[in-house]
Amino acid sequence: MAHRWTNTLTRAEATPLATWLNRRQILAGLGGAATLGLAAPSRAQGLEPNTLEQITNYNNFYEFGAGKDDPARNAHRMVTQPWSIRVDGLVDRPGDYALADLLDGLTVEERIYRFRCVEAWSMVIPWNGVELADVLTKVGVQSSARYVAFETTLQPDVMPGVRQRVMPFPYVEGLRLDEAMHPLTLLATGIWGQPMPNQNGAPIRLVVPWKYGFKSIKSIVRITLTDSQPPASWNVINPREYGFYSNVNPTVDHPRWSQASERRVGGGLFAPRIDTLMFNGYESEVAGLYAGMDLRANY
Amino acid sequence: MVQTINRALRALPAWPVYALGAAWAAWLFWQGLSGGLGPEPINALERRYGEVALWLLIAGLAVTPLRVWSGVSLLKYRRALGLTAFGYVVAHLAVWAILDLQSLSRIGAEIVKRPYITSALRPLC
Repeated sequence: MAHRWTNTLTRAEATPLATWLNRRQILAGLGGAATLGLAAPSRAQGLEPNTLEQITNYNNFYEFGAGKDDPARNAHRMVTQPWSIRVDGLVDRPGDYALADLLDGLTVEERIYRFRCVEAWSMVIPWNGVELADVLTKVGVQSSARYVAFETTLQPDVMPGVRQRVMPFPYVEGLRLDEAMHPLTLLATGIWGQPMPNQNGAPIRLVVPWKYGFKSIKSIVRITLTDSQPPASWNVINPREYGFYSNVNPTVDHPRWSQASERRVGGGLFAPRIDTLMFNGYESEVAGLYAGMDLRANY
Repeated sequence: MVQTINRALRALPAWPVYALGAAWAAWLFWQGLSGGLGPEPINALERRYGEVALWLLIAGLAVTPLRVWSGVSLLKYRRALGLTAFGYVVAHLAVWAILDLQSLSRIGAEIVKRPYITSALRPLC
């Protein structure tokens, strides 16, 4: 592990912009810290986190239906307690772990990340979670492991999308081991300091902020270490449109729409389009993982 | 039965189709402004206008088959249905171009690159 991630998105962004700027002005007035006051607001402008209301009412969670409001309507019936995660494959300590046991001893941190959906909308989300690397270290990754596979819970009785077979279930995803061990990669258990809402993937989900949102698999019940590339649901359904890597990349379009720009959810009817950033703005942290790879071929 | 319906229809003018069509479009726009279409109203509005256009187009095309098979004649509403459908097509296009893509270069690129956008615009030209 190279280093622990230092968050550049801070509590300041979680404060309503006007209040925060006000506070800065007061500070500047008090201390005469003009440079501090000048540098910060420009950063704050683009990175105000979305409200919990927005984050919980615009979701893709096809188990509960393909509409953006279906998860908010249907996910409350999902059973999330008790919750256990099967850890298997190339690990030293495989088994069925109760969620609390898997997280025991790890510190839940707040991470404010940009979240970019492959459908060209985005949010800024204050996650609470632990680094996936810490969980993997805990179960002991064997040296032959190259990939990590994940699986979402399957509860057909309460999942209308599963009964209607909108896509093959259970939903599965995968990461290369170095991506999984990267300090940015999170197993999130909450949003805005609240327990993970069901429609966002309760009680525990993956967050890989430099990849399109569908890589960040929800409601995880199984983590498997493997030596070969595991299947990833959207890649299996439509490999021409969704690659295994699916890194956010403004220069490689989806066949049916441009990925060069995006729209931040919550801006209303006149929300401006903003430029999509390479690796969703995490280029300096993760570009090294793909050194020498043709990102046009490995989309 | 059919004659009773046709007689009743004779008393109903065609202009309410335009009025209802315009009022519904304005109501949807208001919903988008006030949060009634959810946190991402641009895509929602684009889709609603497109759907209504499609339904009205189908309704207009169904007038003749309905008359042939059942005898009920909606002929006098057909122009209103067609023009209102066209109004929704224009609204759908306007939301796509102005609120969604927001720039001529993006619009141009989409028309050239995406076959489904190219074919969507062909009937207008």
